[in-house]
Amino acid sequence: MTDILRTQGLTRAFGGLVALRDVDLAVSEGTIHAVIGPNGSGKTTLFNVISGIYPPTAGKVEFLGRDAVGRRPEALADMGLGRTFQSSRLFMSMSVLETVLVVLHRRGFALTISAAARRRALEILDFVGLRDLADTACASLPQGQRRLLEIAKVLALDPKLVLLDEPHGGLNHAETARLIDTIRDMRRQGLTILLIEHEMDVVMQLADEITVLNFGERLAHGTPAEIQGNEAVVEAYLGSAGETAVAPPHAQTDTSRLLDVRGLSVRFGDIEAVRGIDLHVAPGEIVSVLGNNGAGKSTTLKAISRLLPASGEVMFNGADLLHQRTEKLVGLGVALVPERRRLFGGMSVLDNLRVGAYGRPPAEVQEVMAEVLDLFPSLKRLAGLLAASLSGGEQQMLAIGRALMSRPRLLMLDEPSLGLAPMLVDQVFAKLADINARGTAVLLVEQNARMALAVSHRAYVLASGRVVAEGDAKTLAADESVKNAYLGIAA
Amino acid sequence: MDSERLGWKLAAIAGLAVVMALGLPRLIDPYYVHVVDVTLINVVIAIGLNLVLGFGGQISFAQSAFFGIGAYTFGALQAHGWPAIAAASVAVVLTACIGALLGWPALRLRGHYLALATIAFSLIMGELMVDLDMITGGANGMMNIQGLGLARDDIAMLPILLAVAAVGIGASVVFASSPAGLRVRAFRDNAIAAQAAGVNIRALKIGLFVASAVYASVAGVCYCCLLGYISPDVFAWQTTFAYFAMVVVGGLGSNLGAPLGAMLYTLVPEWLRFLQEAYFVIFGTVVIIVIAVMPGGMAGLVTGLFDRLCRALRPRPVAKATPEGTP
Repeated sequence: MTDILRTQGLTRAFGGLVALRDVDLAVSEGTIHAVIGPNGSGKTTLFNVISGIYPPTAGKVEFLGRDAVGRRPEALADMGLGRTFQSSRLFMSMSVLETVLVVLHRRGFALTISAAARRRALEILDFVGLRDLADTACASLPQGQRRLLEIAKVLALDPKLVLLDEPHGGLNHAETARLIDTIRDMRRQGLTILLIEHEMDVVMQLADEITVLNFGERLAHGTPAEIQGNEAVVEAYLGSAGETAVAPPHAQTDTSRLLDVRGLSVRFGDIEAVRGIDLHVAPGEIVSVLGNNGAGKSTTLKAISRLLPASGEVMFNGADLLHQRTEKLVGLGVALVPERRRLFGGMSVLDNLRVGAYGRPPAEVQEVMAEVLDLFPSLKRLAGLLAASLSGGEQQMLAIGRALMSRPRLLMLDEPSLGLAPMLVDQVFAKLADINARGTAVLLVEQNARMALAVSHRAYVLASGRVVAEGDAKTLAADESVKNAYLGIAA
Repeated sequence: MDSERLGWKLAAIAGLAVVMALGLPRLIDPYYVHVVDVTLINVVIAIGLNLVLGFGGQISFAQSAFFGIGAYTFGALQAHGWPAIAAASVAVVLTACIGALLGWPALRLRGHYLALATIAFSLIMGELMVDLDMITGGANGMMNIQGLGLARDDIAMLPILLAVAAVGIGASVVFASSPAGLRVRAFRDNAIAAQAAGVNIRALKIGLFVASAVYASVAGVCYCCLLGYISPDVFAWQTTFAYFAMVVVGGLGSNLGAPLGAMLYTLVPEWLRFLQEAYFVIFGTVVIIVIAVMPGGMAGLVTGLFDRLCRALRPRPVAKATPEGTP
């Protein structure tokens, strides 16, 4: 088999930070090759260098036997190197069909869109299962379908090699299964695939070969079986490898209601995204809100934190939050860790934390800062760095730390495990248990139902904007029908 | 389906131009025909700016300079005895080349930096128009430009300017629905994703500057033909903000918006003339209100009302039958 892509001694530094060091990689034609590694290990940088977005500091990249360094991204794309992005980059003013058409019509001076391109676009959409949504606006697609459209976009290049950067991030069980089928179909049609992926189930099912990166260097390389047995990999990356290492929540006896939501509804134009949800959180309790993509989980959280207009009643500690301005919520004792963290990237770690305690007397800020750094010792080491330069896991810790700086009575988190390596997911959930043990109530929206149920006292399962199941976390975790229908935990 | 709609749009633009050419001289008095003529020149400038600013999302303040380069090149060549067609062709080609030269450094610039660079360009060009008095006539400008021999004949110029504006708008409409228009939208929405999709964004960016320069220089030639003289204050760098305002108030990225913005900017001052200085207060307030409360600009308002009208007129048999049909 010939190598379609080869890198030799590939190095990329950003100032003093070496994101990739001396990486050798060979991808054989017609295979699925996975790149795994902890957050911040250089996987996405590797993709960016290969696809021409940054030049390498040193080293060689060969694509189809030709030197790829110095070629512009669009030239490489045209040669047959397609890629997707970790957070999908769609053309938000376009429809699904237009998105594929623009790729098919990426060159030339045609005045109108050809019928042949239209046919081919529909074929591609059919292949990824989006044909029925051809006229839908990209902006209104849920996460799962955005991922599929990213793949459709790449296929429209008629590529030889496809780089997929965490294609299944944010997808549920059924969507992931569909994506795996699509990727297999792509290989069957002769494509070579290079894949960054965190979900080890997915990697093991798909990959022919695996390269493991750690701190920008190649830690290991081999077949899935070899990698699973590699001790260095287990230590650096896999952690407890799927077995939940989190302690069960402490006993919870307080039955009063710190947060009491009744009849919460949110409309987006004609669509009712959240329809009359009731939920409550007791002081000191961890409660999860689970469900498929588009079930209304994040919307519920945003409505409670007044980031979206909503109707109904949200009583927190005696005040109706729906009649408060968003910035007042922090003063009342509610803090939100938003989806994708939303850190202040241009500010240092310490400054990000300070912003979290905005308006408090300096002595108190010092005190809370000490508490937070005690809880997240890794942030001490990073104190002076810009938030944007942290890896995903570190950013998540910082986002949680920032929220804690306001000493909230209720901490709300939107998908804290999104895009994190398995070991880091364990760490984040362990921290949540710690925070809860110190007396803070937690309301958690999460895709990773297994982990969320393991740390929670109670949980709500949403579907189509309604609560379809609720109760004790252990009971829900044991309920096969709920698991299969909504949580995507393979039985 | 789409090409059919495109055909209807082009027919509507041509039809409107013909109706205006035949109707306006009979309906309004000659002074207002002159105002319409000037408005049409602004429409052409605004449509050109909308290509780079509205469709491309590139902040350009170079439009007054392109307008001036077109006008002065045409005027200077005519002064040397060139016939109108030849002078106009060279003026447009030269301005397009300068547009490409400006587009080149603009590849490395974005946002505020691009805005500043293009303002600087307009400033330099505005100064050169005064300082190169051997060619430009300095502060006095140029008199007696031959043009089409129709200078100051507002009624005769009207059909010509309508034709130019209609072709300009039509070309922009065709562009918007073409593959290249789609590529420009992709570039505006997400430049990196457009590159990853194989779109040559450098060529697009330069192309957008060239196109906006072509429109502005055509407007410059038209201006010479309409008035028969030019002076540097018409192309001063401050005027570039007027074109910017036209496109933003009209509705960014809309082929309807740029003409509406140009009309608002040129016609409304005429109606409010009796207010004298107080007019600026009223006009400024209108601009702020449009920007603040109409996200799609005036075009957004018009298309919104049109959609509502269509929905109100169209019977909805299924939706209506159910609630009333079941007692």
